[in-house]
Amino acid sequence: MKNSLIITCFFIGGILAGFFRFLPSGWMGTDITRWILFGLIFLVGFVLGTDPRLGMLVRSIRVSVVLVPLAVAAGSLGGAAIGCLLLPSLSLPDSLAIGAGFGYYSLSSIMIGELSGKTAGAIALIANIFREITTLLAAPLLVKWFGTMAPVLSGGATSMDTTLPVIMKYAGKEYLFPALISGIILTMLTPLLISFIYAIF
Amino acid sequence: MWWIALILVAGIITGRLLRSRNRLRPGAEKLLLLFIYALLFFLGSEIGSDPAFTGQIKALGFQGALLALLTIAGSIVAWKIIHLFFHEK
Repeated sequence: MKNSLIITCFFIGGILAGFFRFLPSGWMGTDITRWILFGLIFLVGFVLGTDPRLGMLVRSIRVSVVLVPLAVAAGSLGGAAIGCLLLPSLSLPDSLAIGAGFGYYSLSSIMIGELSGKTAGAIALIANIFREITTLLAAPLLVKWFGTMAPVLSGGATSMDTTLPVIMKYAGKEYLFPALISGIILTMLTPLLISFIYAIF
Repeated sequence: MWWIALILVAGIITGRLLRSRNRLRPGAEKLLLLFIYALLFFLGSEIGSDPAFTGQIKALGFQGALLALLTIAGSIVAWKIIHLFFHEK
């Protein structure tokens, strides 16, 4: 939660800096931000690779465990496609890419801002922060209405870190494992799917 | 697409090879946050410098919230469908 606030502050700080013309515009889509993005993706992989839980998780993977991130991926893209029908101003690739954020708002908004445009990047940030906050606040209701797996599904990529505590509290301790595996797989899928979506459309 | 996949895999392999050097991880996490702050600041400044921006705030918020709820609902529905098939087997 603390990190979400700091990240949002930087974004809002950027908006103010742009609004009051503190710095020249035209940064996104240039070589500079492209290289920072490459560095960012390398670091995302690096941090995942050094995660002491990674080896243990890869060894314990079963088909039944992969079904959870599969449901999140298919369902999020499906939901985003419906969103595209309801929101005519949003293109299908942008809508799908925003859905492929799976709650990983920092990386998805940056990638979409860079690969598509600032408006889609801003919606990606709002949509994916909203997804994380909804999971954090509504976890008990999600469990009550849709079953114990619901907060893991709703958390998406965040179920490996930020939303893990509420998942364990309201779904149960036995959901630690599915939540970690689903979160790690979706965290890797986010950059791959977003770049794939913009490559094929 | 392939560049991003390659960079991600290169990062995972490098991290895996260097995982015994515990001190690298906190440093990498800090650098990662720094990159995120910088890029989101640039993204924000790009949006803020657009004269049409102030009129768009409400619409962007609404679209974001709707997409968040639809992706959550979609994930739960997809899980229920998969569950249905798995239990009927």
